Amino acid sequence: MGFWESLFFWIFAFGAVLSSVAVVAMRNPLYSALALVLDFFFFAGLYGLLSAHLMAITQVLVYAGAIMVLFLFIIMLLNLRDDELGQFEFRIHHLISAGAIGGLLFFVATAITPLVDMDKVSADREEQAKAYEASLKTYENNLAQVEGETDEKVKAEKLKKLEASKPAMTLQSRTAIKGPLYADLNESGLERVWQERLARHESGQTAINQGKWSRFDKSTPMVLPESLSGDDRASFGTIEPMSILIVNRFVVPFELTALLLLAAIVGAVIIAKRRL
Amino acid sequence: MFEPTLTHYLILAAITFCIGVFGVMVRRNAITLFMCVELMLNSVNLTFITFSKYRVDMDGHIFGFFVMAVAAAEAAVGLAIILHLFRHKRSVDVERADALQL
Repeated sequence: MGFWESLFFWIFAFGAVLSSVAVVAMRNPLYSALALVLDFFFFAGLYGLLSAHLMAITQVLVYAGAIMVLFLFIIMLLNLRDDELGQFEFRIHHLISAGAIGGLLFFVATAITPLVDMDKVSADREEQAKAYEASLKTYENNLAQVEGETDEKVKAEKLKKLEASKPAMTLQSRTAIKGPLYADLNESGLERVWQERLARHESGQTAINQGKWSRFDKSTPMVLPESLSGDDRASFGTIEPMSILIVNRFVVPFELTALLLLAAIVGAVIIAKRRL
Repeated sequence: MFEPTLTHYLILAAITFCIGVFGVMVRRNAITLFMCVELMLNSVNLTFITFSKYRVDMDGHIFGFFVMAVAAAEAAVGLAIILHLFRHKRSVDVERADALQL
């Protein structure tokens, strides 16, 4: 985290809180809506700081663009007079219940802080990285020894044995060695699934795109996307890994979302129409 | 203190969520009430994305994406309901929609 990132975090954080207060405090819903648009922009900035690039863009396009236009359209359509705006009702039990919920959330947010002690986490990462490097060194030494073997048959056997004991990176050691910010989709299972599929395909067991949820063109085998195959840290949060996740692991929820939107459109038309 | 950590983001999300809850409880204008719900959804999204970066795992982004889609659907249906309410009661005051109230 550099200076500018910290500075922008505080700007966006204060902006988000102030504009949220404005959303609640404004009497006219038109001003509330405009404050909410501002709020969404601040949130998009925060998403950008968290390297969720696609989410930041979607926030601006979908929330600040589409949804808020719908709100503004309804506000203009209703064209509320001053006495129809509704009162700002300030009762003590509202304050108490909001305070109770807020206090609970604050408690949760601060109570988990010791549970995610960053020093401990990074120490663990360093430790695992050292262990990985040590075991890699042993592996390489053994490999050099085996390479020196003269008997071909014994050499092949030993190589096979050695291959099985090749050290694998864990999430912690990988983070420590390659840096904290990159798409480590290996550990979230996507690449492993593809590797398994590739292995099964290469051993002639199944077609490569045969899986529970895959409905790809059977004639062209899917290959592993370049950006997922290694330490491409720049791809975290961008559209490519996101789209790969959506059309692979989350394809059913994605289709269900499409169905939900269709149902919402039909429902909105039926509710809002005067006479069908 | 100056550098944002996981806790900073979580507390920010908690603050904006609480402002949203407060708005839902205090305001009576149905449109503002809806906007407060959007505020709460956004702060939840911020939590998802924060943990996503913390875990270096993109599942949180996917969840936030779906939250946005559901929010769009909810806004469409909710605003249609508000429109209908306004036609019946000539007001968007939620206290006036008391047909089911004891």
